[in-house]
Amino acid sequence: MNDLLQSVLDSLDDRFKKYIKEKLIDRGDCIVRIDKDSIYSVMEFLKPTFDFLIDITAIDTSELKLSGKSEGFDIVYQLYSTLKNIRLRIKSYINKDQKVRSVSGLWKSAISLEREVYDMFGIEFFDHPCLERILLPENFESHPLRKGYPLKGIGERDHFPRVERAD
Amino acid sequence: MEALEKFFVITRIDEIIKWAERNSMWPMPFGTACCGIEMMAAAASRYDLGRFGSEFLRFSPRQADLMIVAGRVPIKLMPVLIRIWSQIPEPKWCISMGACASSGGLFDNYAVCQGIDKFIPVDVYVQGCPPSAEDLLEGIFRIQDLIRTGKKERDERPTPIRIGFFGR
Repeated sequence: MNDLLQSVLDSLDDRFKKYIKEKLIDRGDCIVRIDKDSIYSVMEFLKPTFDFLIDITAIDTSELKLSGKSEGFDIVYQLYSTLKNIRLRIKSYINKDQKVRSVSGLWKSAISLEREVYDMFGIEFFDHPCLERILLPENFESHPLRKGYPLKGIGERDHFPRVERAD
Repeated sequence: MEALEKFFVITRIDEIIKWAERNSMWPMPFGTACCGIEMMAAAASRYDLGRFGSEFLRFSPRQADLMIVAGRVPIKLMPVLIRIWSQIPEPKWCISMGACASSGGLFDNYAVCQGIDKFIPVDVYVQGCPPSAEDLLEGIFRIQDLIRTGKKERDERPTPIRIGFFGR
């Protein structure tokens, strides 16, 4: 592992020892799994090092059949430091109806990334300036990347008026 | 009398209107995907739509009379498509170009409309994924045939015209 990344992980350990559930390296990527209540404080701590929030996404774990997990989501933050060239992935398991504190106050890019997560998974973020749909139409009612949503939709693609010719 | 025949053509007024219509089709390009690239190729120098009177790709629907829907149409774009189609003045024709516009293609999911002919009338389906530029030219010829033979026949034809062939 990169020395720079190791030092960041050590400082993270010192500060958030009891919130860190798991640390692993998967295919060269460092992944830290943290407790759901400490997401914002960990991100706030990492912000000075990692100046670039690459992506926020989520995984619907309701069909993963993991032990000890009820319906919920894994929320994933992908961080990058443009100065040190190190990457870190933060994962956290959240309950189905849990609201997550927005990190848009730390990284501006989180505004649109969190809107996308809200659009696709229905995870709500508080302290967000405008939590609205971003990709899907405004009148769309479901959250299509949830496992309970059928691939072919529930008729959204068929509900348009038919236009005929005048003659 | 011979001099008159040399300089005058006697015809009916609707025939001459049809002649004018079919030789200056002004297409409204609705290119949303890779079919749009083939449509641009058909308009460019190698295939040159201008040879058949369609060189003006009108980006204003109010100046067009042929809409070429080239590419997939998602649910967010379908209201736009319907609106643009409504803005084209009559008489108007529509080409559904490629698999996605005609049937949704391989995008059989919640976000993509499964064929624009569910919502707007389509005259000619050009098949392919994407169709070649020659196929699109052939589609425009078929539209010209429809104009030549008259609107009524177009409305009464039992099945839509499909052109091109698979595995080209």
